[in-house]
Amino acid sequence: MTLVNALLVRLADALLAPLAGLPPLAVVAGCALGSALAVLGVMRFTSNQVALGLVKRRIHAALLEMRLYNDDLRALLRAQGEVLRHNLSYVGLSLVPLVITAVPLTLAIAQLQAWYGYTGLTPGTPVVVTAALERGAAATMPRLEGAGVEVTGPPRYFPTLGEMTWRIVPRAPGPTTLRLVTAGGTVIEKQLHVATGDDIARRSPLREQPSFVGQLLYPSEPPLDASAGVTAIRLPYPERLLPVAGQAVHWLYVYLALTFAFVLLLRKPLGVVI
Amino acid sequence: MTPLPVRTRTAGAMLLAACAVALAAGCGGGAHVVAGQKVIVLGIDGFDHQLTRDLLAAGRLPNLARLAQQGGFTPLATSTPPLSPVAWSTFITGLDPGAHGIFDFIHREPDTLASFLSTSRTVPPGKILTLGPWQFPLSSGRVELLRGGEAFWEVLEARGIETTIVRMPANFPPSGKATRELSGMGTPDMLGTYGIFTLFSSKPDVFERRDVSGGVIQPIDVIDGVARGTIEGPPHPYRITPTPMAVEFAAHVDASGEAVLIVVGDETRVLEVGEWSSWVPVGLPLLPFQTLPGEVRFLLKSLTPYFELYVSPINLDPYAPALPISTPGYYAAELADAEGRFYTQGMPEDTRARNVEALTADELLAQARLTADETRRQFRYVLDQFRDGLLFYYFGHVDQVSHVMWRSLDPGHPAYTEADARYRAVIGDLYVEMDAVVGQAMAALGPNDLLVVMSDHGFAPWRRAVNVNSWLRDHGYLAVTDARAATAPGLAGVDWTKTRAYAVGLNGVYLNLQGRESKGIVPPAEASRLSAEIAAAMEGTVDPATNTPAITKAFVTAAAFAGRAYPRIEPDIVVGYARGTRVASDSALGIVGPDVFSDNREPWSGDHSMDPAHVPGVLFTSRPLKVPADRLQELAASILAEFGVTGFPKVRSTP
Repeated sequence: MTLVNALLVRLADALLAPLAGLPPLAVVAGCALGSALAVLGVMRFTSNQVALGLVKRRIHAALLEMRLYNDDLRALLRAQGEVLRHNLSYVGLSLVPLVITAVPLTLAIAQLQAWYGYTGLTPGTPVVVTAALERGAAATMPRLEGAGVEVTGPPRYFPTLGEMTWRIVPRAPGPTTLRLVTAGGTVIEKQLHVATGDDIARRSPLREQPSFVGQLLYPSEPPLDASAGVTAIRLPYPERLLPVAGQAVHWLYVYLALTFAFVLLLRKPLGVVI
Repeated sequence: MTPLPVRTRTAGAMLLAACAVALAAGCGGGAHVVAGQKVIVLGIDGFDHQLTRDLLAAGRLPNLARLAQQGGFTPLATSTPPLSPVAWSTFITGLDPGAHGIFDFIHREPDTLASFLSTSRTVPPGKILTLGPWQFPLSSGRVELLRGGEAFWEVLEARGIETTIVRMPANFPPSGKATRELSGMGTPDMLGTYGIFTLFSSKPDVFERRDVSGGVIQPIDVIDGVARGTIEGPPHPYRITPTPMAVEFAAHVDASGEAVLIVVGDETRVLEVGEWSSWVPVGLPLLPFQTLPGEVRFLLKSLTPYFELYVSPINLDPYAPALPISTPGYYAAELADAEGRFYTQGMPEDTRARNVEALTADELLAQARLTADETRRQFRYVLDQFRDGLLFYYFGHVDQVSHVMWRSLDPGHPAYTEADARYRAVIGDLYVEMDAVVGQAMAALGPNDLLVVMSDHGFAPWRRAVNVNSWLRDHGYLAVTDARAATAPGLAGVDWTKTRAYAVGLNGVYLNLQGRESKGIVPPAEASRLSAEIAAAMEGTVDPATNTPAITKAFVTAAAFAGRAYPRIEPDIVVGYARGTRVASDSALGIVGPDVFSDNREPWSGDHSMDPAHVPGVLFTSRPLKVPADRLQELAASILAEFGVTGFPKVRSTP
């Protein structure tokens, strides 16, 4: 998974970095269009289009039957049973393309989230960096440092949570690396991207020890070394919301809604049954 | 169709425009509406005329001094009584209290004597479905603004002039008539009050939940390094039995015992002792997967020897307010996006927590600094966005801090100690800060624009307290059945069969009137004579400790107010106390105490609920007004005159 993520990060950065100057809504819309085309393509070539068309017609027929014979309880129940049965067939026929599209879409969403899910920390505004420690690791009292970052105040260790916190004040905009240095000299790094205005850049609020879900959701950095005594490092990046019709909306909702809309719009012109 | 020659088309357009202007002017009674200019009005609550003069003389207010030189600086006569909701309503409508219906912060229901917020009320849903312990509204409830009269910005909007009205007091819910509005003083917290704080304490004397004025004190213990508590919200709207919606939090103490990490839902904050948190969004659980959003700030007061954590009143979340606080609805979120979350509560400075010693003077000043910084940041944003029309922006912290810090300027105050001397510069420094804000506004003015800096009232020391109910008792107007019961709030021990007058609130005295009060004994025909008799007796009252008049003017409202639109809630007499004297807090709550006079020993040591003549506000303008104003009630008409609008208010309330 680490290797896959490393490749995907390079690919996503190569695709998205040149678009960082564009309005986020436009990029998200473009990604939604691409995703819709991909979904339709997968549907077209991996599903039984004839069978899908047939089962959809049967569903429509059963719905029509329910409307026509709504005064006949027996017919109504039978039609409802047909709708249910054909719906199950529809799900069965869609399963393969669904599984095939789910994997790349999930990976793509994780990459988009890293680029469009967070705003940067503001220079001059204090924030708290949190490290979750393994039992006994607090005694080593790691030191935190980073170029362009001022660490203000001593580290605080909260035994009930097994967490240590530092207050930092980012001073210089742009990317930098936070370095946790343990008493034994081990260095644990965490990438930090301080805002330059409302810039779009790759940001990851969490780096943690290897886990499948963790790597799936936070692919930007390789997992922490399991022997380092630190299980996770967190940064409080604020959530980025996109302005849509006067409302602030998470990019994922916009992306999903637009993908769905594009799929519905393009299915007929492209001759795909879904 | 042959196109018109260019000159003819231009002439036609000009003719049409001229007709439109004439029509607009004709509708309002104005001669000529002036569009395309900026008028900025800065409303600074409690900015005192005398103190301003002193600071101007000392050269500490250079921008205001420049303003005074350019346009003018005069005292601005305040409302009767000189209380903020009353005064700002008077400014907004150009009417006196008898016509706009706001007489105090709190009004009393004459039937039950129950008190309610004077400026707004919640109308519950009309139909409710009851299912066991649950109730479900079948129609929506609403919040109503109780202020009567027409707001002056409505007149401008009707003529196509954009207005931005930020934090105007007595404007909750927002009128909905301005282009942009954020409601101000009168906007409640999530509990529907002016603000209920919570103080969690492990002190041994805090062994059970205790209600205090303006807050709740809750016991808490640190067990195995964690203190766990519950912040109580409003009653659950779907439960028949009142059960508060609540948010749990955990405060994890760090290994050195010097800081805590507070966890509320997904939010965490690290606080050192003495530190205020940033805003923490909280969700009050309403239904599965549905919460009512709010926000709080924490202050870690101490960790040893006792754990003490202050939690601010739960403010409405500006991103998703449970009640309407802005026009358009997203304007509050826009302000939060631009400059961060902010206090949506109308009176954010927690002076009541200070008054019951839940906050120290330094803690309150730190909190007032937070509110002032929020307000100033937002002002800069609003000013940058403002293009033309009217901008009103309100600052409330000078008033609130003055209330609890005035003693530092008053060595003659009965509760003054050497410790107060340390804060002597605080209020003056706030005036200097406001002067800097005025400088920002001046920098934004064009050659034809106007800046108005005004306050609703001034300030005075509050040294001596008068229990008006006790005075009425001693003068035979109020009788008690049980002297001990009468020391409870709400006029509990009053014998209504023998009582002819009583006092509730800060300045109001009410007759026990037949047909209005449920146990009224004073015939309406007697009301005028009795009011005059009580007023005359009050004006002769002398404080035995100082041998000076305690009440310099008692206003019989039937004569003092031209408007008489709210006879059920209007007091019959408004008491104008001498400078340095105010109603006792317990009298305002309807307590009949043993003594009439007492020293004021509360931290709340400055006030303005006195004879209006003693506490004028200020008026600065960047150029002479076309229609001069020397009374707060006239100022809105003067502002409208700058836009060419006359005839405001439509119904004159002054003789």
